[in-house]
Amino acid sequence: MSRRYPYTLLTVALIVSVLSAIPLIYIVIRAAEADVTLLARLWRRQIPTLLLNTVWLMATTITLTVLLGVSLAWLVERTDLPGRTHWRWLLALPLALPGYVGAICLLVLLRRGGLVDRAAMAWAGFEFAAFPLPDVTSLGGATTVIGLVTFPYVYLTVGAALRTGDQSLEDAARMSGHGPWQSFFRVTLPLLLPAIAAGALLVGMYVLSDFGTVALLRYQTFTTAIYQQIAGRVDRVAASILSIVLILMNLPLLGLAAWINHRQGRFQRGSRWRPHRLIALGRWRPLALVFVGGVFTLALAVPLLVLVGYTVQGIVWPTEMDRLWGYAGERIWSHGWDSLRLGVIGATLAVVLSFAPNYLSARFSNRLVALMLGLSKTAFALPGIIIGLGMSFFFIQAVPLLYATVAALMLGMAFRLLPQAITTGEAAFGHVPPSLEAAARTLGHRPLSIFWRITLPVALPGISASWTLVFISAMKELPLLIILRPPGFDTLPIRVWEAANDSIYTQASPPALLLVGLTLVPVAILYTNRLIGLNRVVERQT
Amino acid sequence: MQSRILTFFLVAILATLGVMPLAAQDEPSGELIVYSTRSEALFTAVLEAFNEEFPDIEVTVVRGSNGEMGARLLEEQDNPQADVFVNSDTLTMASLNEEGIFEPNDSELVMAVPEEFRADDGSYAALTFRGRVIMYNTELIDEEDLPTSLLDLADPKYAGMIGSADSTNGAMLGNIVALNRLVGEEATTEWIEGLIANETVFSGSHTDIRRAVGAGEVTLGLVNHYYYYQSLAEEAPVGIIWPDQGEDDIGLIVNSTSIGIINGTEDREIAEIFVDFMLSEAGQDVYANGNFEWPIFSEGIELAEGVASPDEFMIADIELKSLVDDLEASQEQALDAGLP
Repeated sequence: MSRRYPYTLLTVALIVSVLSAIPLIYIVIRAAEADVTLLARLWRRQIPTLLLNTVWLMATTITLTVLLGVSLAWLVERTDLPGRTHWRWLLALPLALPGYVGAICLLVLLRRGGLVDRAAMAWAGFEFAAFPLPDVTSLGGATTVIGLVTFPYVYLTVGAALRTGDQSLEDAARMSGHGPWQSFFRVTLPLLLPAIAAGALLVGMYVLSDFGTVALLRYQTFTTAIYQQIAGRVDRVAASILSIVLILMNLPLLGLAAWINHRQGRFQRGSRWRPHRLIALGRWRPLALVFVGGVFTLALAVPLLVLVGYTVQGIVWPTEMDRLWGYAGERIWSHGWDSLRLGVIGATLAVVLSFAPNYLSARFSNRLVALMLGLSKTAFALPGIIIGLGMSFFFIQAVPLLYATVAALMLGMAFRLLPQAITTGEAAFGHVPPSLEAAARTLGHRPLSIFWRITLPVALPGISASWTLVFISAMKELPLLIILRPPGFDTLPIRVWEAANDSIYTQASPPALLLVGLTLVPVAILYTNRLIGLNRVVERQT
Repeated sequence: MQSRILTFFLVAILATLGVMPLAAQDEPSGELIVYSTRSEALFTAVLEAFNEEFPDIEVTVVRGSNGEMGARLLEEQDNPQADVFVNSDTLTMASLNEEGIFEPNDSELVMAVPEEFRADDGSYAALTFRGRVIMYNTELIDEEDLPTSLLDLADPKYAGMIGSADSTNGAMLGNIVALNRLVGEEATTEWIEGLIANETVFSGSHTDIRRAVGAGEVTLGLVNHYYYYQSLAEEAPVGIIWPDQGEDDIGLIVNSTSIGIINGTEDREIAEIFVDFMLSEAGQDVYANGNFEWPIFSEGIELAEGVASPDEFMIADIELKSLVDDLEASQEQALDAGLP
């Protein structure tokens, strides 16, 4: 098949990747300003602790999410768990809960003076401040919160692998004398490894880029340290150096992702593929149900209950503080509107921008394209604060007219999300058979018309799934907004953050609740829609 | 091309002329963008009061930490977005002023502010001032065990009991700069290291710290004096220590909240109205009675009931605004010592 190399497409893709690399260029320029004493100080005082803290958090969170994700996926896909078709999508929903909202709920429940503490004093007769509470502003607290909002990544990838996995292989293991456990550990689990790794990878990247959760739970990682450099003493150089270390930490993860991607090609469905028989849980059924229900309750039901409770408290029994914040009024709707339009436009822009590089890589992959894609993806690891600074620097220098406008914010958001759009949408075009396009070409269609009438419709399920994931990220985005929001434009995450920082949880709850609602509804609609199904994203994403 | 430009100017001039007489007759109206580092709950009431008097001036606030807003102002210097900056640390104000962020303002009220609390040309001026104190939870510590000096907080016997603002907080930075002058750099570094060794809970927000003291999460909180009165008003079990009041002690460290008009503001007139209101009796009264702060003008404005007057205390003998050269070194020192 001889085809002209699409230079226009290449140019567009190049522009997109260069633009998405602006923050990267920004931090390299800034970091280059560093003198030796600064480097020495950072190395002596901050970097070792931050590395250790971040690696620990990643290790504990990945362990927790893999344990939860694999066991839940196995129960839902392979056993006769009661209500498994409902659990299948319910268990994906905690993804819509931003980590910092989870952190607020944990603090509301378990902080001194929180719900549990007050209940212990009122009902169990404990003295003031005497009830032994676990310290939630710790590694344990951060692991719990991030684990509970990110386990769906592992759950979805592993669930997909379990659904498409081949029964005949396990049958073979059983026939050659392995027991059920043995065949699970020796056949099923090794086959699941790529899927587990793919999910764990997403969790790892989340941990590296999370800011709000660790900040509220006072666990120092690179993102909080970078924020402090900016928020305390305006040291962009130090912040940039820390960002570079953060990016370096991400590189092994990206490499691993590429390796899995490469390897997964080998696991094709054989011709003797057969769907799985469900395993009867027997007397374990109630216990399994308690486990699945328990995880769901902790991850979503309890947080929602806490948020509803505190919202009601703030409205029905307002304190002077509540009056001053006045969040019961109409402002919340305007903040919701700001959030929603930013989320929809930002996600759509990001996904559309990702078409050029993704299509190019699906059809005309070469080294240049791979490098471009790599560059765009590297920005995945950049903390939002730095992306905000880079973008605002760019606008001030290059397009001052756009600076501090909503348009600039939307563009910034689009480029913030582009790496995710590229990663999650990469496979969408790969699934469109080139022969379809070739057929259209022989019928005399021009390239754009082919893309519009053939490629895009066929790739749509993958694209909308990728849009959904990007949209969720856009709605939750906090650090970028801290830097880039124009006067008068406040999103729900900003309102949640401001109130939670002053520990005024009755005022953090209403915007948090609305935020979760606005995110959950489209996600639920998209997930239950047969055409689009959220699970497809994750199947395709790595 | 040239004729187009001419037409443009002509239209612009005519439009201005046409609008001016109308605007002059009306109540002052317009939009004002205020950058603020003050906690939202401490700023809302005074804005409400402002809008009662000037209902046609729409105020939009962008809130952020001391460094965030400072950085934003510096980056926007050639393309200013804000009209007014309200902040809670004199030093940051003085250092931004050196960069030419503010416009001089010789309004009568601004010039009436005591000299040590404003720029000579009125580019910035204090609105309120406050003392650095230690508040404590009365249920968790006996009076004889209480610290009497800020420096006592580094004592290992208070390990695990303290809450304090972190390096993103302007008041904390001012505190460190002041200590450097009062007790020397070495002792100050030791003090910061002592706080860290004591596993102090650091937060960007004083409100968070005062609530933690009230709930018993920590026993002692290093805060500004009015946070104690706020917790008291919420009926939290809290007490206050006015530190370093002995004969040979360093005295109470005070800092101020300040206001300045941004150089290049689009509506200087409205910005002046805003600044003057904040210094007027009505504005000062909200700060004094709503927030329990010390108003910058002691005459004519009553302190909230029960709030101790600054005259009762020995105030540390330093002029913060003159220490602006110390700011950067102190920031580095704080970070070096490991202050989050």
